[in-house]
Amino acid sequence: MRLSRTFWLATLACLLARVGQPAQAHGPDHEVIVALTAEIARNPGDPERLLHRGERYRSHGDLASARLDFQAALSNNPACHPARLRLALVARDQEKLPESLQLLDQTLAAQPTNLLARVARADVLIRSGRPGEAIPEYDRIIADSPQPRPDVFLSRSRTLLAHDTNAWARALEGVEDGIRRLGPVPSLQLHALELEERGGRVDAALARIDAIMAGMDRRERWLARRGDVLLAAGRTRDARTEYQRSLAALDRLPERLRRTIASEELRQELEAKLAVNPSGNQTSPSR
Amino acid sequence: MSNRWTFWLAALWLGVMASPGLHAQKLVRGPYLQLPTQNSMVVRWRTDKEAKGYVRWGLSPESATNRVSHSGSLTEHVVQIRGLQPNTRYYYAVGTETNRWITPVEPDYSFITPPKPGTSQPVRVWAIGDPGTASTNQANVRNTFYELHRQRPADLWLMLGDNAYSSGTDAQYQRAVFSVYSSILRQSPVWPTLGNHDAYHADSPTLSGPYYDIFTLPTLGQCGGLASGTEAYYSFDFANIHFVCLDSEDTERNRDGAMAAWLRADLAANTRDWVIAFFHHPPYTKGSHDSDKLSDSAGRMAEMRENFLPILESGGVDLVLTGHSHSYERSYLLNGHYGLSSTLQPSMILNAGSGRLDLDGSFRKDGGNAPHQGAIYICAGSSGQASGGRLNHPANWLSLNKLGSLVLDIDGLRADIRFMGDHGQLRDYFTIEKR
Repeated sequence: MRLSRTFWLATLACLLARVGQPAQAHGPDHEVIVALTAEIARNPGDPERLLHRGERYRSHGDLASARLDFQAALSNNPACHPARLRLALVARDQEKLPESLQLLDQTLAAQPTNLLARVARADVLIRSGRPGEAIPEYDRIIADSPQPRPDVFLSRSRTLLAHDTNAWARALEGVEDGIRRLGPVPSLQLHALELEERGGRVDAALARIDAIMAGMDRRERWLARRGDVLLAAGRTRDARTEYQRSLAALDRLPERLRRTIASEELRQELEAKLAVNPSGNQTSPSR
Repeated sequence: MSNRWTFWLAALWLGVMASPGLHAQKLVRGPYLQLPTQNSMVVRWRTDKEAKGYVRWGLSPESATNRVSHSGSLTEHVVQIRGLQPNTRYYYAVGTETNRWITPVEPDYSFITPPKPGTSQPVRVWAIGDPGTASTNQANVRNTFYELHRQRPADLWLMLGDNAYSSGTDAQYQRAVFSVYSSILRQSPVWPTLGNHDAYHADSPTLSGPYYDIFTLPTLGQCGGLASGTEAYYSFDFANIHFVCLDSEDTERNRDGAMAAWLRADLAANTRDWVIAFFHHPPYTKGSHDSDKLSDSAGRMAEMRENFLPILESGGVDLVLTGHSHSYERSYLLNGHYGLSSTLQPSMILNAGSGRLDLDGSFRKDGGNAPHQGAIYICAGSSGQASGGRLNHPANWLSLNKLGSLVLDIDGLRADIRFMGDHGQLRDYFTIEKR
């Protein structure tokens, strides 16, 4: 009985001691957290250090510890907008979406051009099932960014289509804007191609493929894609021509590229398409 | 005062004002080389005072008389030299209008332009992971590379992230990168990727912060590969090698995101013999990080493994270089291992050997970037510190808690990879040969 009480007291003491320690991170982050914890103990009201430590916790997925630090930084300095923004990101990652949105609105009221806050707001709105409200956020991000990322143009287009499935033309316009600003980025060009196909604009889709192919040494897959677009539009004869061009492009490849599994699979695929779509009259479009 | 005195005083004043010493700009960073193409090179450096920056260059120190400048008066100088010949050594000096040349024109200040894309010739690549500790460890790893490769320096070098501890500030970059690697920086272009510590002060969504301010990286495919539209991830060619840099830290890692779409297209367009990918977070590690723990690094390691390894392997990747764990971990020749370590199947290990020519032979692969022919995954995050861990990931053939850096020697269809220690030790080596 005596032993048992000692055991429980020791266990409780260990647990209490653990509560006072910083949460475990990894390698140098753990060391930084330990050092920051010591500094915070000496200067309990230092929002900079709380922010710094909270960020370390957040990057290691310890959201509960991160939240405590950001809350403490904010209560010490209510004008600390970085703490508010980071608290909003933690709330988002904890799926506390209304809280996150409120914090982001407060951040953006004080700092309307804070791009990180705006990106996060768009994300939270989408997660909250409000894609329509996220679209103007993306417009604003693109307008305010000196170098907007391709992801933002893609997200805007996808959000637009999630909100209104018939908005492909507007979505395409937005992606075009991205290509104009960032150059011939394949992630945007390929999305534009999808949108052209979605809108049934066959010639425009073919022109997109030509633009993508222009800078490439290997064209066989893109020629095959041209064939697929034409076949879907019911232009069987033209599709066959493209499949044959693709086969010819395969034949022109150096042997080391021509005899790979991927090239052989493409050849089989093309030959199968040519076999099931014999030359002759054009068929009606598949959609 | 007589006119004569006034004249002489004015002349003295003008003379003093015009003297280079008074307004001399001091070189505080660089020079360093960026964005190399077969016909151009970007030279960057920093001065303590604003000035218009000039570079003079030529085929020998004596003939380095061509001049090019940037516009405006700046402290952060970025000058692109154009009209160069492929695979040619050029000598250069940087300077400003007021104190002319602030570096000497001598062999130490020279670079070799990349060869024509696709050329098969010997290429040496140095790769360092998590180096930025500004410590003796970092210096020893660097010295080993310098001393053993003095006769044949690197054509280019890769920084695998966490380049400057502990938060990637400009001052930390100065201490842990520019002060440590000044010699190689002025001779070989450096290609970095963003680590989690760099990202404390850098931000990929807005392409801002020291990391993005310091490096000039391709967004339009100007060094080979396809345009990514962002400096966060990019590709480039050197000789017969296609390099792919991904942002595993701060860019969306979804399989339908922009980075994934770009990567698919980029690899489909590749015609080079070798594909080498690098990013910060390792897919297979049991070092100071654990790729099985989904909470570790907020799941980035798992996301890269699950979403990007299938694309890389479909694109015929040969080598994947990472850091993050401060250890050296080298995988078997693997294909199709996208889950936790417990899901590793024998069929995913295409070659369980060492890859050592003197032991059980090299790894052999089909040429032509055939998909799913196997890749070697290396976590080399011990170029500044070694932090231990269990080091028992079953996908890895070798796991070491040792300091070091990677040296890649690629010649035609053969690649020799060495992991060199901090005091000249050869800690690991293997060879991949393509048929």
